[in-house]
Amino acid sequence: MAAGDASHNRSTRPGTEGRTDHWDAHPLALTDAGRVRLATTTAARTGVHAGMPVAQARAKCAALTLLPWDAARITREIARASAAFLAASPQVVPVRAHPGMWWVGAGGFDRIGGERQLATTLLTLARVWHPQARVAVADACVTAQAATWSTRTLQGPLHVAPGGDRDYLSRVPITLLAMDEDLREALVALGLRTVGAFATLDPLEVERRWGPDGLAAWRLARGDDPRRATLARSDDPRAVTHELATASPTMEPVLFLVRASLDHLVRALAADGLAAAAVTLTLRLEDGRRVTREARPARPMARVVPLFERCRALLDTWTVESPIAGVEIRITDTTPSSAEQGDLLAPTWRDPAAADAALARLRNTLGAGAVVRPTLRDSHAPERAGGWEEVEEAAHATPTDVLGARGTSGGVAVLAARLLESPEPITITTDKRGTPLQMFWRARRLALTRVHGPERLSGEWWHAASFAREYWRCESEELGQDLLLYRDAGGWRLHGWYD
Amino acid sequence: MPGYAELHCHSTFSLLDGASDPERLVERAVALGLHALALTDHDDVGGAVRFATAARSAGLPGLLGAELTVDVPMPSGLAPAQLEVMPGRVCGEDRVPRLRTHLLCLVESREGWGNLCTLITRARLDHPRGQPRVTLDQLAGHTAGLFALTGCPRGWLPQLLALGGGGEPRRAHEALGTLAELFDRRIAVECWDHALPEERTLVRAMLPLARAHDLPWVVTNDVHYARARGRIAHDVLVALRHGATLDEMGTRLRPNGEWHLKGYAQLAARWSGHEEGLATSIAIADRCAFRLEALKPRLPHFPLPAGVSEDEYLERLVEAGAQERWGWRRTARHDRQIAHELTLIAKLGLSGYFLIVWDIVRFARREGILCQGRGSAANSVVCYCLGITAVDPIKLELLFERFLSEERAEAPDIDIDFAHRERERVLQYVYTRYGREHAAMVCEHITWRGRSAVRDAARVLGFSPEQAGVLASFSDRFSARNTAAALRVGTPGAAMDEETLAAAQEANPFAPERADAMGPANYSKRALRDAPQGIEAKAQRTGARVVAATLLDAVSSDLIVGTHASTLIKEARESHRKVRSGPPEGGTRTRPDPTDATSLLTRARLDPNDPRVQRLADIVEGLDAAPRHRGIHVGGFVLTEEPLCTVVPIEPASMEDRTVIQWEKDDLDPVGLVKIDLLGLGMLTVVQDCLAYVRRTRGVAIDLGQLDCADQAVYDDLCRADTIGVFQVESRAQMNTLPRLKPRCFYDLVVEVALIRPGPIQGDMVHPYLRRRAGLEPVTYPHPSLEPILKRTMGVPLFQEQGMQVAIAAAGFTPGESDLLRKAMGHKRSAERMADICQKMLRGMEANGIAPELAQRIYNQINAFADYGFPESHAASFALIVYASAYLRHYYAPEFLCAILNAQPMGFYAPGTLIEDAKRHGVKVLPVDVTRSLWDHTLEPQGGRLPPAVRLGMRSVLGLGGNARLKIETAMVATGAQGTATASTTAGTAGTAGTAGTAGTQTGDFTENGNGGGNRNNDSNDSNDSNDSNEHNTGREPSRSDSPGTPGTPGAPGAPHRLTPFTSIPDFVHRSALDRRALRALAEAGAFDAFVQDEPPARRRRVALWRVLEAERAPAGPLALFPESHVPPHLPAYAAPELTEADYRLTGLSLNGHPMRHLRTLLAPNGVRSAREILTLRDGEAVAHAGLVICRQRPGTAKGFVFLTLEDETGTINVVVTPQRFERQALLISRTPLLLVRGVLQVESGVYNIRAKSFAALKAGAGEDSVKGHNYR
Repeated sequence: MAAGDASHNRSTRPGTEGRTDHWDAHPLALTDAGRVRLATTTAARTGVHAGMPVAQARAKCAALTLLPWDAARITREIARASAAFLAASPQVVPVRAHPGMWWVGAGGFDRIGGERQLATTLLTLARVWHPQARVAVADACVTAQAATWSTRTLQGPLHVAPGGDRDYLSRVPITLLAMDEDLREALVALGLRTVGAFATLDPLEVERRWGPDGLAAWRLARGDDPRRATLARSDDPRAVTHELATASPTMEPVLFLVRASLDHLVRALAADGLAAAAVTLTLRLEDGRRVTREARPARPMARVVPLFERCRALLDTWTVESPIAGVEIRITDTTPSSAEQGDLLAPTWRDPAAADAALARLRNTLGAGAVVRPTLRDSHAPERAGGWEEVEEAAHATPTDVLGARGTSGGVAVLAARLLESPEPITITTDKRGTPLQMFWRARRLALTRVHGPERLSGEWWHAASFAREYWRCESEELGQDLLLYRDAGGWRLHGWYD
Repeated sequence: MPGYAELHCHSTFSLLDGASDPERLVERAVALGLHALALTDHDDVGGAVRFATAARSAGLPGLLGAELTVDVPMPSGLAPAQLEVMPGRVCGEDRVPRLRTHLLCLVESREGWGNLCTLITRARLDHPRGQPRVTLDQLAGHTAGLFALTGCPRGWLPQLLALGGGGEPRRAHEALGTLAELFDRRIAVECWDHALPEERTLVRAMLPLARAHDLPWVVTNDVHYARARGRIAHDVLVALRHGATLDEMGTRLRPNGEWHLKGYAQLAARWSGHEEGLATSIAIADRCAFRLEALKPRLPHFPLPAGVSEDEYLERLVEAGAQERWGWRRTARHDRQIAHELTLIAKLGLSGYFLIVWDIVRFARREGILCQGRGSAANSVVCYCLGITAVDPIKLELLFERFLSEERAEAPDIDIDFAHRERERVLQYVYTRYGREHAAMVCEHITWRGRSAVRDAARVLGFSPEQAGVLASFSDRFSARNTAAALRVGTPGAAMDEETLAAAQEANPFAPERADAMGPANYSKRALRDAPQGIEAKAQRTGARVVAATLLDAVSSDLIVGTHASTLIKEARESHRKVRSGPPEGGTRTRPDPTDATSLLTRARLDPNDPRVQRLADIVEGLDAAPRHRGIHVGGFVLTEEPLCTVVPIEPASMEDRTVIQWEKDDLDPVGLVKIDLLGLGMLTVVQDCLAYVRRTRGVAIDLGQLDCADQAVYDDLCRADTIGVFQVESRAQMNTLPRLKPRCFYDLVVEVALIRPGPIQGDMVHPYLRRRAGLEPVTYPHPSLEPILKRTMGVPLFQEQGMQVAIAAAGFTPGESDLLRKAMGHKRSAERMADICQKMLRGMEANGIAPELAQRIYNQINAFADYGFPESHAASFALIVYASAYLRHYYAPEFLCAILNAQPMGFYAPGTLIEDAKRHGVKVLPVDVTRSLWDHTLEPQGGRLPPAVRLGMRSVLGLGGNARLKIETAMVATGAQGTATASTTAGTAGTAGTAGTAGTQTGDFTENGNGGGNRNNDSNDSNDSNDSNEHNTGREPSRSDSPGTPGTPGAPGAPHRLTPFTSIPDFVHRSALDRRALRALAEAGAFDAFVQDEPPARRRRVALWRVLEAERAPAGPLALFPESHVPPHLPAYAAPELTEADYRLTGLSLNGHPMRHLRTLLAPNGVRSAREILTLRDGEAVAHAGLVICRQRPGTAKGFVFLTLEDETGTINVVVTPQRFERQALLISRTPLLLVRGVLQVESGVYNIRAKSFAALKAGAGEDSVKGHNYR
């Protein structure tokens, strides 16, 4: 039995891309529900530990960077690491509730170098993920786990001799044995500081005081661990690799290959009842480098067209420094396939995935920022009271929703304000009260009738874009429209008109 | 001549909805030439007194009123869409939807004021805190004397009109009819114009309504800040109210900055053609003639025997008290003083007031609650005879006029300290005695200061908490204005645009051609040039020049010292620079060196060029001194004969069963409300308990009033600075002074108490006094005229009274002016007030022939009191407690220790230090033991011999809270017949439970009145005790019976309880039903050791824990499944450091040895001396010392020096750290619990200090990490 303790993520600290130091050398912690769930070694040195409230952790370490616990990502990374360990042993089990730890079966390796060779291989693999990964081999999981904490594992895998688990554990500090915190504190208070001291207690006495959980911990203390590594199955790789006949400086040939590959991969995926949540494209360049990027649709899907549109959008904006010699298309994330049951008789029902595909095509045709939707914003400044935001996925609102709430207001037609992109300077003459009478705009003199105002609007004084204006709404018979004028410290301007 | 009165104006007392304080509003109204100004805060009149005072001073008619929140029925038949858009739609507690509206009420008469206050009281008391409101029914009974306006757009009418876009006025007609009927047509329709079209639409609909009902309509501007620039602070306050950043606020912020005070010209331009609305404002202002001077609240009548007047009754009581106080020692001088005071009290009509205070004190005495008057009341013989104060003013020659004088014509200020644990009973007595309608506590407005302002400013600007923290750490602790000045960089332009626009209109609203002709650039400049500067700018410039010049003079003559002085110097230099360079364009802002601000902002990782960052200073300045919320004054009570809610609104306080008025203490004098301060003092609890313990343990009754305060053995302790635990003189600074001052009589203690205060320290009075006292410099007087005043303090002014007398003698102040000086000295904004008085004093002294330099020195010394100086009488009252606590500690050390431990948390030192000190004085302290300990600490006779030992109570085990206490005490006090002994009501708690019994278990200890604090049902027993008591050989007369109160009481009061001792660990575990964590803590603390006596001592706790763990899971009694188990042989014994570690971790102290004891064998060979050894060394010797850091101080008056107190197993030693050394090793010094210090020993007048040169951290692993020191408090 071998236990490895390796990290699951090779990413570097945010903002430190390009540096060589590992993230474990930075004070980082993953947080979940206001508490620290995992901390790097560097953070742990400052006293930050799992279970600690975030505020307390910050107090311990001012430089602590907190990142949210991303269960999906962690699961994905564990799966990737597990797959790598499977290259060494078919029995790889990620330890539940202990991300970064695996049980690896080490039996049956006598003919291929034995446990020691396996442990060395595992360590090599694990250190790809974490420079200080540790591997220990023992008969029982509990012993192997405890042994990984030995400083000797930093030099290489630690071997507990067969049959020597109990002896090894007897010297191990009680803190390295998995048990309830209350039990651990009680044992320490009783002066039982080693696993061995705990193991010498009468099991009946242990059960009297700590019940079945205490007894289970006691058994572990004696090396009696029922857990075993089991054979694990790796998913079939859902990837296709192509080599180009001649290296191409453009993406054109790649696009054809991607389309064809996706056809193949998605069909297989759909047959397994799965949908693709992420597709990675890895380009092998002529100079030997490999570059990978990910295309992630708005929702998992088992349709080729929208997936391909995503990939095409990715490739269209991808510039490479060297001709492309090959490409790998890999579906890296899948979810069980599910589909909304549409009501065929409801005229408003739309397939959101189809809408997504349509939007993707629009984006491809018109450009990345072409698909937008209007949004209301909460501001007194007219030009900031509305805006456009890019659409990532089709809205779930039904057409009825959209139409019902807009267009009228209490039966009164609403005038739409057309605002100029940049308010245009104008010259105004006013009466003695300051009311606009006529306006000079684009070399035209316009008489203003039915003038309403002033309306003073000012605000956002904490911004560089603060404003302080006096608005007038004036009708121009010549233009036949209500004009929106304002004056501020910069003089008079035409802001737009109503129609 | 046409004019305008602003009838709708909110100040900062519309909490989080008003940005200018009342004084600024008045100042601006005067500058604008308003006919009158009304203050109409939301459901609040907290600013009324300040407003009225400012208006009276400025000669501006100041109208009083409030904007009430009124719930009205929700109009029926509304479409859901209409309901959604109604801003005032709410659901009441009964889930019935109502419309929440605003209604403005202005006060016409005294009756109207009473009604307004009553309405606000009901609005506040009948609803959850922060949601005041009244109903139309409540309004109906209280409209007399009030004139109403229909309110802002949140008013009833506007909301109804807004429903249908102004097209459906029927509901509004009905509403206006209802209001007109309620107010008997004393109502006007309120209209406004903030340059918003929606308001104009509403106004167009409201004017016909007013005409239809034949009611007047009036223009207001619904003011929320004095000047246009106040909009910044207002936006910030609104954001804070919503708990959002400014970016998130959007349209929840007002659309422009028009809600400021405006003059007639500007409003006339707006309302051209409708001037009658402006004229109406004048008419309404003229009819609302009520002013606060008309408020003449009276004190409640004290219930008197038939046919006896208050004056006569007071005289009788004083006579009886005089006989008791002086007896045969009474002289004609006493009679004269009594007659003088009684005559004046009768003349001022204050006899009832004294009787009320006497009654409160009588209640406390009756209940055994120790109390003592402090402050200027101690100057009064009447207070002394009534038992209110405890120091004899004749003996100490205290000045009665400091307390009460005809010239002051105001009620005296009587402050009484009560044993802090019992004070709530006194407060509730006052409520009960006079009724909650007639009594309430004074509030305290918690205002924005430097740090809070900068934190909130950072919050609304969206900066991170970390950045806010950095900024706050560099902020002025007190002044947001100073903080703003330090943060100011650049000149943001946005607000100037806003102000430009407003200023241009204010300057000349009828100048269209100007607006037409103006280009962007000259628009701003011209507007700025024409913008009115206002009187405040001029006043500020003039004032700044005067203060700057004065202080710069002082700087040049090197007369100002201390940190406060440096601040003044810095401010003065800045002010001087500003004055020389002229005010910056458009304002008079102080602009310190911008590079400092840049560096500060950069440290907080903020970009000084970011406009948002540049706004920080504006926001902080805008929040300066604005009230954030309302708290309870530390002890001020007001009582009135008429219902108090007709004088001032009452509202619930944050504490249960407390109510507060909306005025704070400084608001009371101007309206004639009398305050009585009922304060809590921890040391009085200690003394009270200690006296009770002494009576129980030794049969000695001590009357504090009869202490002669001349016991030289007590003064020996004081001279040695052997004062850990002694009131007021236990701090490091006091302990350093005592051996130099060498107190030998009571007056020396009075001086000692007054001397070590920020005032005298900053006034540089401490060292001159000590040198003169030691004969090292001659006693001189700044001026011959001051000799009689300063003779008692050797020419150095130490007391507030001396400051007053000096002002009279040297500067020619009248007594009234000197009293103003005294008030300035005690006022929380005293620095500013004192600066005003500075000039007058300097001129006065110059006129009396005192040289300018000398005059400046005298002024500086008096000015220092502004930072806290004691009146002599106050110092005398405290000195009495100093002596009493020192006396009790000296003669009754176990009882004193027990009392002070039971009164924790209080004082300067942790229990561990108090115990270590007591042990050095021979007190035996016994560990916590569930078979003998109660919840509180108790006294146990040692084989029937005195002195008793102190048995630690279960409260000493950390982590056991109130719930555990309840369970333990319930388990102790059996309700059945199984118990073996009876206990008095208080047996479980007061610490003397063991005193009457043997050294056995709890069984025998709870007998008779073995309570710690004079069972109040046991007065006869107490009396017997007193009569039978041995008089202690201190020359005192036999004492009167006193029955001090008692700490917490298990079970029902008065009922005898049977106590069942715990017989085994399972017995304790099952009866107490404590949780596993608490049980484990008790076991680890050694509380079960008595049950495992057969084990070696060092192993007992672990064996006990082993059994506790078993018992905790095992069913009790016959259901037990297993026989008692054996103890495993592998449970190791505690090593000595382990035992100490467990002690400190679980109880914060150790009886098994100080952590340093475990290091001694290592340290001694390396030349590290113990505290005791150091006392044998000479001045100047190099020395190394190590100890637990029990105190770290960096006083503001010490110029960056840091003082540490190290404790080892032999005593304590003080260490002085220079600022430079501290900066180098700040973290080590501030964080390390166990320090090794090397340095040079300084010995002066018996005071030992180590001047540190180097530091090192030590690790003993013996609990030092668990020590909670007195760190930088």
